[in-house]
Amino acid sequence: MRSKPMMLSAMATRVALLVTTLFFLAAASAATASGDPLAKRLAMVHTLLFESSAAKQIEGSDTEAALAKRREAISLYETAAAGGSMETRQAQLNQAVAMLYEAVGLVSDGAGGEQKARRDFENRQSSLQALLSAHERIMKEKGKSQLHTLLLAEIEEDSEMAEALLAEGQFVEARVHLDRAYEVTMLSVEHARTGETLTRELKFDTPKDEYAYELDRNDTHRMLVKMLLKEKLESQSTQNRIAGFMEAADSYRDMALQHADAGDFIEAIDALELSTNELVKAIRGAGVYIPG
Amino acid sequence: MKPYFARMLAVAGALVAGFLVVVMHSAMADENPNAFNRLMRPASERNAPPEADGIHDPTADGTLMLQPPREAFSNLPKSRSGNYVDWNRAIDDMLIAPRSDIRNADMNAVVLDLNIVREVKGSMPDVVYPHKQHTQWLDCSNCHPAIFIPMKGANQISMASILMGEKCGVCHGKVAFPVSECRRCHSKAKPVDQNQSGS
Repeated sequence: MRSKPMMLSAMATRVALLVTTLFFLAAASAATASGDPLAKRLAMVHTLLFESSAAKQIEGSDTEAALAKRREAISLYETAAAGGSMETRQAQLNQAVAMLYEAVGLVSDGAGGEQKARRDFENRQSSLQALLSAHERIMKEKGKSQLHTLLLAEIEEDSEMAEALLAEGQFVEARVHLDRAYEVTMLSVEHARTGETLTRELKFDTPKDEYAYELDRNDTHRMLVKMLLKEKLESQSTQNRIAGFMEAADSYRDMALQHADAGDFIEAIDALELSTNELVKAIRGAGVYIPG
Repeated sequence: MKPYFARMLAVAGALVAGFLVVVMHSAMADENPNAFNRLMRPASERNAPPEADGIHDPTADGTLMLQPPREAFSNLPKSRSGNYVDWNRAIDDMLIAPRSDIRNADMNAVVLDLNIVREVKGSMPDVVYPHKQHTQWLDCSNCHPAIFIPMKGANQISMASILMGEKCGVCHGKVAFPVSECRRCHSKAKPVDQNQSGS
């Protein structure tokens, strides 16, 4: 049987060994967590080669040159991942990145490029239609001037030409006409509206509409309590200070919902206004001034 | 002596392991996956150099060639949020002249000087939306019609939707000043008599 000091010594030695093992394990984990630069770079290049939108664009294309270039880039990455001097591996990764960019450039000139050109064309066309509708409304409101009549004719001509060229698959030429129609429309709207102030009046057709507006205003202030007071609410004294306001706000809101369920939107609006006022008091009570 | 030595070794080892746990914890905290929004960073981390901003690859060749924002912004007028530059004043003071077209340096943006005032309920000042400051940076097609239909009454805009990242919230709070700057949009005071009767 061993003596008590010997047992203590053996236990201490075991603890020391355990702690030393933990030391090395922790050191290894810390190196990964704090970020070995090469490991991080390998991970980034891996994402670029296999998961990025560029990689997917190349994969989804049938441009053999682009696919081959990506395969070459992947091979370089694998060489870098396998080992070697830090300098060589960094250079291989840089080359792999450059190759992937070259590859995606080859795709853009092919089917992907055509798809993008079509998508851009459609987006621009949709903006042109929206601006033209606005243009028409402005002309109705103000009356057509001679200048605007001329501009409108020019816009229509370019717009029709763009459509015709698009139908023939001539994207580049179609886009030139579409852009011109778009720019002239922008200039015409700018000419008609410059220096003006338009007011969107707050009018409600029915009490139900006004109730919906008030409900949204109340939701907004609830979101503002969370957003503006996030840090302040960590303090118990702040929580205590605003608790009464929040309870009152909840209570008024419950009343509003009950009135609305019963179809009494006038009462519901009044209750929601009171609820929102309590939320404003809570925000201000926590030391954040908001207008309203 | 031996047990004493072993105990000392154990204590020293425990201290080192404890230290490493703290180091690892802070290293992992730095890698917060939600730290993507540059506008929300604390003062000490604002406008970090490209290699430390969490956006650029710190090991990429070109990253160190980029001009650090603090240096680039040093002479620009200050604001209270975002990247702490008043970009509109920077244009008005002709300190910067952003290109309207990446391929054509001679092209000028079509700047529309049109204000839209949106009335709001209560004593909260009405909202003024200035097209001028927006079209100095953006093309009409950036917002119309995908975010806003350019027609009176066609856009249901609420603060709740903005806070959820829709409508104005597509940019504000991300790349433009945050919505907590109430007065920058709610800037048109109500007439005094209306103010007194409001909620």
